[in-house]
Amino acid sequence: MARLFVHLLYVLLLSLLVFALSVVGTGYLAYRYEEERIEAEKLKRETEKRLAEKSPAHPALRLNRATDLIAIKSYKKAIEELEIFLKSYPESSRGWNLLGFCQSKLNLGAEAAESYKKAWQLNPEDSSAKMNYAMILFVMQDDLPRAEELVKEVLQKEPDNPQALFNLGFLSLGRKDRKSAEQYAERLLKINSDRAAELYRLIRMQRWE
Amino acid sequence: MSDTGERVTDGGLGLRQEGVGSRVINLENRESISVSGNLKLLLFVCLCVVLLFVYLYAASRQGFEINVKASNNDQQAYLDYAKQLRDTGFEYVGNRNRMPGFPTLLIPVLDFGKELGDLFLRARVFSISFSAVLLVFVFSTARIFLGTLPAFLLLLCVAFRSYVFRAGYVQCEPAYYAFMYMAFAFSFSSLLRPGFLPVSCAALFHSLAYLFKASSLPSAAFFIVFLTMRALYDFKVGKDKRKLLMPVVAILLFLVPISPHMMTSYEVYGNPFYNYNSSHTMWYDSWEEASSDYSKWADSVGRIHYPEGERMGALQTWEKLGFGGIATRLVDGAGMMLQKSMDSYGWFWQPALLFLLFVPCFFRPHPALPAKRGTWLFAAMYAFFFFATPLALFAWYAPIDDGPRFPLSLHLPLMHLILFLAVRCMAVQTEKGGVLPGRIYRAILMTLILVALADAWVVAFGPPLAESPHAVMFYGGN
Repeated sequence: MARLFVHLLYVLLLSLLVFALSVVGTGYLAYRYEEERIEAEKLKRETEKRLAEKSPAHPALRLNRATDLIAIKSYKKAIEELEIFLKSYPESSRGWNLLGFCQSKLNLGAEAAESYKKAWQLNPEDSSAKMNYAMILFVMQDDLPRAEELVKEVLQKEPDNPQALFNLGFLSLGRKDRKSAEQYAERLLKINSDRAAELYRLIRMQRWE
Repeated sequence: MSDTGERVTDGGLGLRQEGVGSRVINLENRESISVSGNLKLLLFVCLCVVLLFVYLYAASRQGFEINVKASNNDQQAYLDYAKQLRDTGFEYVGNRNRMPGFPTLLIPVLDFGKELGDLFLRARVFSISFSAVLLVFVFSTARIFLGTLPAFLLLLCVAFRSYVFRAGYVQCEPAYYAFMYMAFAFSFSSLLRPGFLPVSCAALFHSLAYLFKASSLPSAAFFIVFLTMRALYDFKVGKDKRKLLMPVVAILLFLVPISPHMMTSYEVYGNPFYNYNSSHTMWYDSWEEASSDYSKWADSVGRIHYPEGERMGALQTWEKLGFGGIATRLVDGAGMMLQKSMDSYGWFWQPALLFLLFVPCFFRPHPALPAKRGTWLFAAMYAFFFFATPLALFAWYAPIDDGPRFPLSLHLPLMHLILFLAVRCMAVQTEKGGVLPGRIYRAILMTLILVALADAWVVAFGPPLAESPHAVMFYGGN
């Protein structure tokens, strides 16, 4: 029995030693990988900056910069970038669409509706712009029938568009139509379970009379 | 002594071992260590240190180059579980989809070393380091039952064909595989030669494995059932009353460590062994359907309130599918699982190759077996159910999730079983000067170790394996 405890003690000591060595070794490697990642990001930013100095209104740069800012939820700065970009390229549907998104995030509903509308008019085939416009119509102006009509048009063209299914489910909630909302959620489940779970959550949160 | 200079045991149903070179590694009997033994030991330690760093390098590449998002798979869920446990003072219940063992280990990582990097990075460093410790446990256990060389072969195989790919993920699987393996090794051994020590170890490791993943429960149940049968057999044959106490000890040592978890499960869900998957998901035909119903009917702690006529369970499945439907699902599932296992990181071929290599040994049965059927029958039945039950369950579960991570949990026990039988059969043949002299036995083992070392080199310094569709499944789901 005593030998067994000695054996166990050896194993525990060895484990501690291995753990300490592993933490140091892996920590060092993690630090190196993290440094490489930071270095690569720094290089990317510097390249962008240099390009921006040479050609301030380069569409890719302004749009990319705005997209990066949106990713970190810096919507005000993104709007500044997009406004500069759109002065040079007023025909960019994507630019107006992103501008509308940032404005909606800052609760600038009327401006967002205008931007989305412009994005959709510039590119009627852009389903994302069309749906954004529809949703802002519902949220800002309570125009549920028009919003549903626009999103249904998108769904007719793209029957598996998860965002369209989600939006229609959401709009059904606006009509207090639980059955339709659940039908859209079920269809969505086959395509995107995360979005479907989100819709089910909204359905559950809704107060049904 | 055999002609290799190794001490070979009696066919080995206990803890006596043959060791490296002239050194005898024996828990009961230690001999003096010769100079050449010391040199070999030193070389062995150096090799292990080098291999540790090679392993850390390879696991870090997978962990930091491939696994770059905490949102991949259920890593974020484990980190959130750890935060909830810390913030609620271990009051958090979860939904019993994940067990609390691994999140508890993650708690110190939440606040430690914040200046060094974000939580996900620190958690990956911890997971990789912890996996190295688990490999020490695996090796120590294997060495008790197999001897140093076969244990080293087992270590190389599992370290570089399964652990290296999983270690960098913040998930419970590496710990579960290790504890489940240790539980199996001790259970198998204690059914061959019952003793209070191996029985206690088996029960404790089952309990530990359960705290990491609930799938260990069937193995624990089979162990207790066959241990009871073995104790009754020994009592009938040898009037050994002491052995009747062993199942009691096993039950106590299994239940006591998990009792807080069981009590909470009973209070909240009405069943001490409640589990989300066995009570809900496994009765569905797809993950999507199960998630959909769970989203609709589960409350804040994950209790599912099925509407009238919507309940899912064994009875409903029997009524819906019948015998034919159940058999079809099992057969189809087994096929899917086999294909996925063959396509994954290469671990599947190791036990297959070992089995083919050692199959001639199995045709020469242990000379003691016919006379002492009671000594191996219960262990054999336990081993059969240990492998057959999860395989049937995985096959059933395949339409919901057929990731190779499930059969991968059998990799270590299967390798252990094949090596155990091979080593024992060869040891007996060697001792008796039979068809397989000691030199050939050692040559086979050394060749396999060299192949495993070369394979480790390829895994560590070849291109890292990106997440293939199978790899996504491998780590995917819950």
